[in-house]
Amino acid sequence: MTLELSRLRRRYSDFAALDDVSLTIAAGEFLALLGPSGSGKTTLLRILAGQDYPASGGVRRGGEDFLAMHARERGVGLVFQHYALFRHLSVTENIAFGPRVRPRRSRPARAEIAARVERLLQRVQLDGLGSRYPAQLSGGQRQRVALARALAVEPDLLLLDEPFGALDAQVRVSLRRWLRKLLKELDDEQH
Amino acid sequence: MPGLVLATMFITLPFVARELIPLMQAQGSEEEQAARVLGANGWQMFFRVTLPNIRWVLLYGVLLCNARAMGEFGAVSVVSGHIRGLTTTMPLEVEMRYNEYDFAGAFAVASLLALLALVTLAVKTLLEWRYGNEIAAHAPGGH
Repeated sequence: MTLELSRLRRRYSDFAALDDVSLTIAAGEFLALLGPSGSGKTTLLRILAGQDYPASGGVRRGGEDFLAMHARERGVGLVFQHYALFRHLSVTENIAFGPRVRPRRSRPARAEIAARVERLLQRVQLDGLGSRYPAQLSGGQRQRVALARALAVEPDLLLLDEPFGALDAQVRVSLRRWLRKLLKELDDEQH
Repeated sequence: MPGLVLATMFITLPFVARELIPLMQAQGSEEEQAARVLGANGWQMFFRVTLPNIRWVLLYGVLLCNARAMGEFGAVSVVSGHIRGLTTTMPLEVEMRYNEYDFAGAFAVASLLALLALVTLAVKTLLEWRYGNEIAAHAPGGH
């Protein structure tokens, strides 16, 4: 399904974060937003994730008004810039959070959630670290936990906010390559 | 009785707030936002994310609150009807017995109060020792 953003505007008091942004995102597309800090990248992601609303303009997905949908109905996974992992939960519990807070009728069974978490841990190469807490992980590992947590809700749209911003140059390069491969794999699975 | 509770809350709740506000400001709302995006509703967000993050500091605040409430005299004395067994608190009981020349009784209640204070102090020390970094890092310097 294509996502169509049309003429989005968002101001913060005297500062225009988004000024007339229009954009079409096709299914399976891999899109990067580039710009200096303060250019509205995060604002755009927050609007798509349902954390913020534009002053004017609209977003449509397959004829539906995307902005009128509740955050949880949008099928969006968001990896925060500073990951925002739940510090009181283990890696496993962090990843299982999304499936666990579903309303009862659409919630997967306990065993199914556990299996899904296990698969995701393998996928992000963190098997065996499930019982650790975020404070016990390195930056790169935390980022992969955040990614697995976002993927656990099986989103149609995955948003990464400055995914490599908080990492050192060396980790950044290897992670970028790995992430591109992972997203390609995920995309192949869906089609 | 409700009056006593109300008066005591008025005196003590600021202690809990003083503990909690700096902690919550320091933690920010990122985790809550993450919970939201992952599909949690308001209650789930509060009970699964917000409350666990503040639980020790909250307990610490409640404990300080309790310590203050136990010894509170002024506010409860004003609103209390001084009906024994119905609208007294321990400090009021001490005063009443003392005024009735029941010195033994007054000292007994006072000793009990002191004992409770020691228990509270012990629990406070335990909390500070066990979760000290969490509490100290955000407490507004000194009490």
